[in-house]
Amino acid sequence: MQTLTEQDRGNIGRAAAPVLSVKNLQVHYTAESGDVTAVDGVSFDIGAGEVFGLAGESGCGKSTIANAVMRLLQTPAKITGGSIELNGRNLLDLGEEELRRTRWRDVAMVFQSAMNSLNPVMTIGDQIVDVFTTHERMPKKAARERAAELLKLVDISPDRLKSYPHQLSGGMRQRAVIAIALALKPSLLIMDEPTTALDVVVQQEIMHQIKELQQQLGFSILFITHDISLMVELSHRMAVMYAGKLVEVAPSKDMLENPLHPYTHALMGAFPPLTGPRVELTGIPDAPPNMAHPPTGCRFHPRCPLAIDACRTIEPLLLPGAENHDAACLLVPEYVVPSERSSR
Amino acid sequence: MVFLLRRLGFYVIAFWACITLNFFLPRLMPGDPVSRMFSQVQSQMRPDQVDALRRLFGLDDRPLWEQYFTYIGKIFRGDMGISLSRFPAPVSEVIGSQIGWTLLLGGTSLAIAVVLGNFLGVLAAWRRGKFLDSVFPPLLIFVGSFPYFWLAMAALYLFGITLGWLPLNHAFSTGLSASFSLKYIGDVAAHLILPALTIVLVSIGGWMLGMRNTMIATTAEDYITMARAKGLRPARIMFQYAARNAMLPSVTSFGMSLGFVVGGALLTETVFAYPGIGYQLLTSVQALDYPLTQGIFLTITAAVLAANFLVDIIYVRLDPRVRVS
Repeated sequence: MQTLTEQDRGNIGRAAAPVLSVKNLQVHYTAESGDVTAVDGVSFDIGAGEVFGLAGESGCGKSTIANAVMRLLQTPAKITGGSIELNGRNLLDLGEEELRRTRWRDVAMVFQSAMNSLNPVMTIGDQIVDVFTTHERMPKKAARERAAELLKLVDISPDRLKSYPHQLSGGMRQRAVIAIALALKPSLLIMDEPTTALDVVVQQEIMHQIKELQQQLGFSILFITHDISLMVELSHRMAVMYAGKLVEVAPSKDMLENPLHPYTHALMGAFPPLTGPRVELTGIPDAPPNMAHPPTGCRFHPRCPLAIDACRTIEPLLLPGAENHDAACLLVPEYVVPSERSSR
Repeated sequence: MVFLLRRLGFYVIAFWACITLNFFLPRLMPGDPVSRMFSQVQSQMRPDQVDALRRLFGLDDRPLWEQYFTYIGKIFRGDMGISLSRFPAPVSEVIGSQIGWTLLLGGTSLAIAVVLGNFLGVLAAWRRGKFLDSVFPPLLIFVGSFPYFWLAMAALYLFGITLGWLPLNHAFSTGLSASFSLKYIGDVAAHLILPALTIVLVSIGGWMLGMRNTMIATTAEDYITMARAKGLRPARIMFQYAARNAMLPSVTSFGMSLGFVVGGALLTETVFAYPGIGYQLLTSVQALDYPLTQGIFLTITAAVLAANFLVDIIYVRLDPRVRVS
């Protein structure tokens, strides 16, 4: 795994216009027991060629964000506010047909379960080919050749084109899905826990491959996982999400070395480090909040070891806590720099 | 291929079991057809006549196993014995004269009900909660839950008598003889409409509902979400990704129904005086015509087995996962 220089980190995501810009995104689920706010005012940018990680416990809303960006949310989920700009175009304004054309061409997605994201009655080849025939009106034969190239890109032999999903191993299936995702060279790839269903060895292989492909092709990645160590390894910048809100955003290295938010602290303590000495793992007490009735003030306060009285009533905003490092916690003093950040 | 051979082996064994049952069941019953005929005629039958009849029906005093092999040999030559009620017509001839009409009526109505029902089911599930989905299933189930004979007679009264659009009974007009002329085919088609329509009406709801339900489960699968994310056209997702997977259980039920087509549609045949196996079976049972009853049962069994084998073949083509197991 290649490590980035400090300069790289500084450049990434800062230069030029962002590929993806999510602003104040609100997603609600309508339930009989009342509305649930799954994503509450989330904003983040992903720069060209940047790998942006989104971490958090199950149910915190990270997959909802992924599906919102793909506009795949179906009732009872509904995007109720904010904007999602992809290469300067607000995806929320697109009509059905425009949306269909944009999907996969500009933004592709690798789903959580490789086993189930391929159609069991179609060959791998046909499932790649239909991307080309639909989006590029490519003749079948040419599309098949492109499909063979794509499979080679992820180290699958081209004669697997005629295989059905059940004839491939879990790792191969997930690589095939990645190949399909890269078919049209999208500028953004969303990966929603791409390796959760795989064993650790295969997981490492795939992560390595994703990293290589990313450097080779230069697409941006929105990488979603609850596995912090995996995320730190892969992503340039990352955000930690709790109960529908971002609680901390920072370059991965800074986040790892100097987490500001108590929740991030706790998350880091809950995962074994891949290298270095053994450390005692600590869990986070209690369960994530019921999103139908989220806690007042800071949503993490009932589980927070450092909570003060003010946490119960005052909702903390996501503010700079250090250089390039935002956190939403009352205990983190605001970091003020005289640059563009001071305008916030 | 191995899978199909294994299935074929299974069906051969099943068929053998049927023939064997068919052979032994009547022989376990008291009496025999000849004594029955003897009592029916209620008149003098000379002992040599009785003997001749016994030989004709394959009833003799040979050991059971010998009779059994003779019976199996005869079955494979298509010789199912002599009908009692239609004496001296052979059973195969009696069945042969009716089965064409049964296949025509049953095949047509099944094909229409399956194709149309499944298509409606696919559309309803795809636009879940919209017009088609909220109106059609209850309506069709409502129509389907009428007693069939009532529905058939109502249709007959409305279209046949009151409006006079369609013929009242039989498979073709009296006076016409079978030929490949347009007139004859048109006449047969006109006679087919009402019986087939009523069968379609009562059976289509089940097909639609079955397909709708599997289809709804299928549309929740991850590969459908991925297909949508891929930016495929909705029609392609609906048919190639969703319906293509949802149709698998439907194919199984189709196979079952296909086999039972051969059994005929008793009520339809009765209401519309349409020729067919169903009515034939009823009369043969009433007349205690064992050879004919047995022959019809055997034909139905063979048809069910053959239809199931056909479905196995189709299934292997449709679902690649079956090929390995």
